[in-house]
Amino acid sequence: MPELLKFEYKRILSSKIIWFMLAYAFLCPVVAVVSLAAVLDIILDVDIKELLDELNASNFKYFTWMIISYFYVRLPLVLGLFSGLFIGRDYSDGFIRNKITAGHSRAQIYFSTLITQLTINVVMAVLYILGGLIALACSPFEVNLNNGEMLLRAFTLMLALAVFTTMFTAIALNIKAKALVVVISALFVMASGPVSGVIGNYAYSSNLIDNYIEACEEKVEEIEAMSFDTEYDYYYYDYDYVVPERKDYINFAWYVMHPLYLVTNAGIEADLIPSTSTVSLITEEGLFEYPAKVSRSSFATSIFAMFSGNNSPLDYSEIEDVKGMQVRISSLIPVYMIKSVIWCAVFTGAGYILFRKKNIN
Amino acid sequence: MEDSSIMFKATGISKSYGKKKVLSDINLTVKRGEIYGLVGKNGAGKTTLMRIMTGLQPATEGTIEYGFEKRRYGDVGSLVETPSIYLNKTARENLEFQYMNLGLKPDSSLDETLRFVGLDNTGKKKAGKFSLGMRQRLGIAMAIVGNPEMLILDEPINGLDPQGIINIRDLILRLNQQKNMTVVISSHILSELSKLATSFGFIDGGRIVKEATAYEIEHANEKQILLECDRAFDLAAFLVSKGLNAETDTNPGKVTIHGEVDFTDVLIEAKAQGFVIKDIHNIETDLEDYFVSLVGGETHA
Repeated sequence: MPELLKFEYKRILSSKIIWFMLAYAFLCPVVAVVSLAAVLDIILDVDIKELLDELNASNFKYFTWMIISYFYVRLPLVLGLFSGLFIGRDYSDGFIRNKITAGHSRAQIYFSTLITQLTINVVMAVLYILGGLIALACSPFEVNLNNGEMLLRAFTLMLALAVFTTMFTAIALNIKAKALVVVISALFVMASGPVSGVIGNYAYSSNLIDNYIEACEEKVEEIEAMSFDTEYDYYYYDYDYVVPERKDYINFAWYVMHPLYLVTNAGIEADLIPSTSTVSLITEEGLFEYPAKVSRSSFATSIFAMFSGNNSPLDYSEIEDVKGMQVRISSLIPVYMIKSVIWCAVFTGAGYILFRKKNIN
Repeated sequence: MEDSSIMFKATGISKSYGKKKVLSDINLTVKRGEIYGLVGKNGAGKTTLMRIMTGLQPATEGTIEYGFEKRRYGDVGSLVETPSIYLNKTARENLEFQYMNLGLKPDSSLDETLRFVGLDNTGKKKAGKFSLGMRQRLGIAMAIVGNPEMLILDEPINGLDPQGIINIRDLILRLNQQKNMTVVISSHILSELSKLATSFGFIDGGRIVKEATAYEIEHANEKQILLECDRAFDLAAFLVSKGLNAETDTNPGKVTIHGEVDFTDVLIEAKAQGFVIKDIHNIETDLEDYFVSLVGGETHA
C-alpha cells in the first residue's frame, strides 16, 4: 500500500484542480471577514472601533466561531465534486485496471484512495480554519478560541465532514460513470441542508414535551388563579391560552424525524454552527453570545406552534427554564464524534464490500 | 506450481453475470516463454477470460495459478480492450505513474521503454491527442514496465493501419525473444495471430474447444495435392494403380491426392500415357481453416 499512497498523493499534487480547491478553502473565510468589515464600515456606516468597544469576550468568541465553523457548510460540495472527478478519472481512463493487474489487492486500492481523500478533507478544513484565524487576526476583530475549546468543536465538525468523504469515496469507487458520481454527490449535498433543517426541528425528546406541557398547565392554572382586577388582567385577558396536547408534538413526523436526528448527523448544523446572519451582531436586540448550550425551544416558539393554536402561555425565559429545554454543547460533542466515526465505518465497510467483488471492465 | 515449465494454469473457470453463463469449465495451460494465441468469435468469452486472468473480474468458479517463483508487483502486464492510460498526461508522465504504481523508481529504463515502443519523440503531447496506434503502443509500454514475466494482450492490433500492425507484431516478437516474456494474445486477425503465436486456445460459446501448438495445426490435416485434368476419373484410376491415394470425390472434376508423397516419376509416366495435367497445387491448412473446422462458419480463402 505505500506504493499506492505515494502514487495517489503524487497524482493529487499534479492535479491543477487541487490548488484551486485549497485556495478556495483558505480564501472563503478571508473573504467573509473582509466582506463583513466592508459591510459594517461602508454600507452600514458603523464605527467599527465603537462597535468593538461594546463587544464582550463572549461576543468575540461567537464571532470567531462563526467565521471558522462554516467550513462544514462550504466544503462538502467541493469535496464531492473532487472525489467524483478525481476518482472517476481512474475509471474513465482505465488506470484502475493497471492497479489491479499490478497485483494490488482491492483493499489496498480502496483504502489508499480513501486515505488520500480524507487527507484532502483534513487539509481543506485546516486551511479554512487557518484562513479564518489569520483574517480575523489581521482585521479589527479579535481572535478568541475560548481556551482551545473551540478547536474541539472544530475537530467534531471535521469528523462529521469525514462522513461525507467516506460516502463520496464509496460511491466514486463503485460507480463507473464519472458524471453520475458528480451528480449524486452534488444532489446529496444540496439536499442535506434543507433535510437537516427539517430534521433539526424534531430534536426535542418526548420527555421534554411532557415537561413543557406540565409547565404550561401550571402556568395556565396560575393565570386563572389571578383575580380579575389585578394589574395583570388586561395583559392576559385578550389571549386565549390553550395547554398544548402531546399529540401536537409527538406525532407521525416526530416518529420519523426524531430517530433520524438521533442516528445521523443531520442536527449538527442547528446544534453547533451559528446563524449566518452576520449583521445581527449589531442589532438593537443585542449581540450574540458564544453558545454553551443549545435550546430546543423552537417547537414552542415556531410558526408551527402558532398554527396549531398553541400560543405558549410561557414567556421566553420560562420556556428556557423547562427541564431539558437546554442541552449543553459539551454533552453533544462526544455524541456527534461517535456518530461520525460510526457512519464513517458504515460507508467505508459498505463501499469496500461492494468494491471487492466488483467486475472491472 | 509443481511444473516449472508452466507459467499459467486455469482450472475449471466459469463466469456468470446473473443467470447468464459466459464461461464454462475453462481449462487452459500456458507454458513459460510461449506466445499463446486465444482464438474465438465475437462474444466467445476471450475478453472475459482475460479479465479473469488479470484479476479485473473474479471467476464464479474455478482457480487460476501463476508459475512465479515469488510474486512481485508487475509480474503480469496487460492491455485489455483499451489502453489504460491517463489521457491528460504525456507518455512519459504515464510511464512515471506506472513505475510508481509498481513501487519502482523511474530510471533510464523509462527512456528505453519509450524508445522500444517508438514514443520517445512525443514530448509534451498529451495521450489524449495520440493516434490510436500511438495509444496502443503506449498501452503496451505501460504493460511492459518492470519487465513482467507474463504479458496479456487483448486485441492489441484492433483499429491499427497495416504499418501499425507490423510494428506491434515486431514489438511482441522482440519482447518474447529478447526478454523471454510469456505472451497471451487474442486477435480477430487470424493471419497476424498465426505469425505470432506458438500455441493456440480455441474458445467458442464460453468453452475451450481445443488447445494446439502451431506445429500441430500446420500438420493437423493431411497434405493434399490437387490436379486439374480433362480425364480426371481416368487419371485418378491410373494413380491408384500406381499405389497413390487418389480420388475425384473431394473435388469433383479434379483429382485429389492425399498424403505427402513424391509422385514425380508417376506424373512423368502419366504424361507418357497421354494425360494432360493443366494445373497442380497444394491445399494447405491454415489457422483460419482450423478455426472454422472447430467452431463452424465459412472461410474467406
